[in-house]
Amino acid sequence: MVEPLSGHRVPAWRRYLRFWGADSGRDLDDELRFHLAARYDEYVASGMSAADARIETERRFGDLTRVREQCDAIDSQWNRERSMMDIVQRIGADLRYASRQLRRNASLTIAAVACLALGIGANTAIFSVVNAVLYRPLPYADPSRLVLVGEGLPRFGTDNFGVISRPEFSDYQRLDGRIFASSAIYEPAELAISGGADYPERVGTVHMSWNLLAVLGVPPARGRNFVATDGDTATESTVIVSDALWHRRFGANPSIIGQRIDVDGWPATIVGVMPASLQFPLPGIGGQPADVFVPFKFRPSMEFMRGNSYETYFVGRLASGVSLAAAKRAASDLAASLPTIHPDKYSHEWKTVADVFPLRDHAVQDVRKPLLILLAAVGLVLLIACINVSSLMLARAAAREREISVRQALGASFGRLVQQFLAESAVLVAIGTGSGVLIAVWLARLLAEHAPADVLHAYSVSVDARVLAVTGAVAIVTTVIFSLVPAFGARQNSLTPSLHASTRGSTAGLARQRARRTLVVTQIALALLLSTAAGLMLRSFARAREVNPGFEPRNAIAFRTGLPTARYTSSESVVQVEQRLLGALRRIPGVRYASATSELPLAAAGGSAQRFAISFEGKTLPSIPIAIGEIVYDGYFDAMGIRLRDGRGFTPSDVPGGLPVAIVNETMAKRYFGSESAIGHRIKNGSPESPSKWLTIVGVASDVNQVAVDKAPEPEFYTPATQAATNGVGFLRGPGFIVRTAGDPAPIMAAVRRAVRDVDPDLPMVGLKRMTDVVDASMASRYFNTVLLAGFALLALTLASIGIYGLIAYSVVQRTREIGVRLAIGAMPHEIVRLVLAQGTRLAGVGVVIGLAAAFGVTRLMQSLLFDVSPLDAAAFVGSAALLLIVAALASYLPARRAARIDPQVAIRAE
Amino acid sequence: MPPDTSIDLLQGTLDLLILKTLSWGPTHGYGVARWIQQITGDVLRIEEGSLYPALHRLDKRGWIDSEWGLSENNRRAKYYRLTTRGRQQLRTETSTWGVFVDAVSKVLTSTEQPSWSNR
Repeated sequence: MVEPLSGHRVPAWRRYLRFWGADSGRDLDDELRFHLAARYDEYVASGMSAADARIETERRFGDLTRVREQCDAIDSQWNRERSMMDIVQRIGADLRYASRQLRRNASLTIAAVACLALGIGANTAIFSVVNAVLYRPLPYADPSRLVLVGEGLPRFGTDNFGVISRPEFSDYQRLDGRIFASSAIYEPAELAISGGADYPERVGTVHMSWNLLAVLGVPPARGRNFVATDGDTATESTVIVSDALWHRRFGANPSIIGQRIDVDGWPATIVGVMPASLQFPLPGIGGQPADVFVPFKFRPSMEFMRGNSYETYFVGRLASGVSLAAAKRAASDLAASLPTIHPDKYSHEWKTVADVFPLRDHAVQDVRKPLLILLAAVGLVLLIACINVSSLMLARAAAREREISVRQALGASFGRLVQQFLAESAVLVAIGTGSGVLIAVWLARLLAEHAPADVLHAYSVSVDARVLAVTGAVAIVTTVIFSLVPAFGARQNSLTPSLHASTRGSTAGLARQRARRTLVVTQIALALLLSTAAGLMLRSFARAREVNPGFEPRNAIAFRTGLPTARYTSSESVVQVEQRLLGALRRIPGVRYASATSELPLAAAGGSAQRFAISFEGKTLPSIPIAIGEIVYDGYFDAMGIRLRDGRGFTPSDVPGGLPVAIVNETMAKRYFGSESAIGHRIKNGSPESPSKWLTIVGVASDVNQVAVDKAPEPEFYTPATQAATNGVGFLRGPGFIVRTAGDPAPIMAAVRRAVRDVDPDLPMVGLKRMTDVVDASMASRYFNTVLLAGFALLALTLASIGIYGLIAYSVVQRTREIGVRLAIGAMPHEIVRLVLAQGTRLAGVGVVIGLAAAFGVTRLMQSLLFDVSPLDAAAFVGSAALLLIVAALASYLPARRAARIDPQVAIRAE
Repeated sequence: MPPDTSIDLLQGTLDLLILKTLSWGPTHGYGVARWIQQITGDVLRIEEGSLYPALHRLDKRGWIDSEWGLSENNRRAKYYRLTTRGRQQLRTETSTWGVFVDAVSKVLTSTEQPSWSNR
């Protein structure tokens, strides 16, 4: 507060305070105090009394407090602006200086930027995939509240099928309002459609309770959603189609609503088109996104499926405030009470259990781990790249030792130096990140295109805001690390020695060399870890390729078709047209065998192995045997190239009225009959009391990898299609055909199409492919992961070798004089080469030992990605260690050769 | 910072008076007040306190500059000095003032009657 009239003078010590900068509040007080004192003096001098002079001075001045406040406001705002401008200017100057420094060392800058761009680019691309699959919200309303209910029958050896039995929907719906806000069921299928475009097509469809889209919270983009009456059996059939199908078959015609489309041969009216963003179902919860949504028409006859057919997904939206744990409890209580509610349908011995899990968790369960492993791998690559850049910066800090010392001597604080280094790293990282993001955009597109269908195709992979935010965070962390490393180098640096030291190398230089050596050893260890992981993947891939799938993929083509229920109503008519198709195929010149099956091997061919509970006559087993059941036509084993180990194949004489027969695979024969022959024993679909017929085993076929090349064969039994309807195992309506030729099957593909069209022009054909392509496609996922991991390992190796090269080359320059002396006193050039090489390989050796230890610890995390290879596979470990040592030796050889060529005379005089 | 565009007559006038006063040479706030009183015969009766916000604002705009110094009777005082930019500003404002005064006196001294006048 101002004391206006004290004649008080500014104390002398205040001047020293001003040394640290202006104190605007005090200054203002001083200024005003001077004014008041001067005015007062003048009044007193003119003869006024002290009291009058005081009153008059104050009157004349006006409101002192207000003036002070106004001035203070102006000053403090000004100070703020000034300090802001100072900072901006200083940053600007730092950045300009940094760019100049970086431009002066163009080659070093390019190397650093390239390392960063590769590291950040690869990271951003992989993260964009991880983000799309694991983190970005699914395109449904409030997707985190969506859950699936899956039942399991512990007696069958499974606690969770991931699905329920369709009639149980009415039971689970009783949880609506209490546990679920709403719930729906769906079953994915693949059905023939026609309408719109003039070709028949088989597309992914979803049969669903009418409210499914409402539960997902995604209304159609055009037309209307389903209402309860769409599920009535009395009303006409209605469907909603996908945006993709609308474009593909209807040319995006806006008048699609109300048009007819035939689904599985049955006419239906299109009432809506879904938005393009809707992707449902997803791989893992029903397969590829569907093109046609069909409401169930519930009939009482469906009750027969209760408790014996599990293929219905139940999706619920958790009611607000209900936790997952509460839902789990409610579902499991409900499952336990099912046998009490429907005593005639459930056996009390076969306890039913149920579990509830978030929709996304289930959808990504198979791809989550591989993706996270890839992300970890690419993170290591970035770390290696960062170490390279740090190492380069350290080398440069060494070269700038004098400059830094001078700046310290001139009064640059440690903080100021950090700021300067920060600016240099920021420029470097900004350029590196910018180029990295460009690489990532391109790489992400490449990944999305080439990823196997079961991983990514339902997700839209792109570099979005979240990906950019993560990249930005990575870039900031990187910047800070880079700037701290050389700055701390500068701190250790005591002033005098480096000002005095010439290029001969000071103690600080040695410390820096040690730091760089540590970095390079770390790099080698990380690169070894990655290449070991890649080695394990490559060995697994090779093993998987070597697997004999149990059939002969060469010289065979396969395709599927579907026989619409509307056109082919009875089992007889189905068998009849399938026989005609087989006849037409067998008549094509060049065809050796043709047959058909309910399940083409390998999931990639579109087969979905159907499993049955079976019984063995006269055997009681501790758990119920489950086996894949396959219905085939005669000649199937010849056409597929499956060898018969025992007995006979099916023949045209296995007619409906004849002896019901079956052929089992080796796994089944061994598991249930041991060394005894399976021939002549009888098996049955279902429990021993079930009405289906006992089937006499007439042959044993060699094992086929029915699900995937890298999944072990399961017990399996074949029944003849001609007897299927009477055997009680159903009959073929979506058969897969296999056609075997003597040579390359490609030339007969057109003839195959023609043959099918001649029999029925409305039959759609799906997936006409060489069987060899089917085998490849079934390994697409493994191939994808292997290629990526191997690519990252290669990148890591390259970066690490650059690191070694940089270090050794630099130390050769530092030791020029020493090497010169050695040469002068008689060392041979090859001894110099050995000396320098030893330096490189010694470092590599240390890195390899550390890397092997690390790999030993972590490779077991990738166990589930490996096939027939131990996570501690010696070949992968030894191979990558050897590879690292060779690379290190090569990277040191170039500088070593240069060292050997040093001219001793020049080298000694150089300083 | 955008320039203060309020055409508060008093403030604008005060600024102009300060700039003009400082154009004679550096002085402190009290000196400015004294000079204006002396020249105008104290007709304007400016509250002396109101000079200071004006001085600080002009300082911030870069039209005047400040520096601590010793007054005639050996007291520490803050001296203000016109900067080059301040001098330019003074020229601009002086001519604006001339135009303003002209315009106002034209209205006040006009003998012509407006068309709506019924006098």
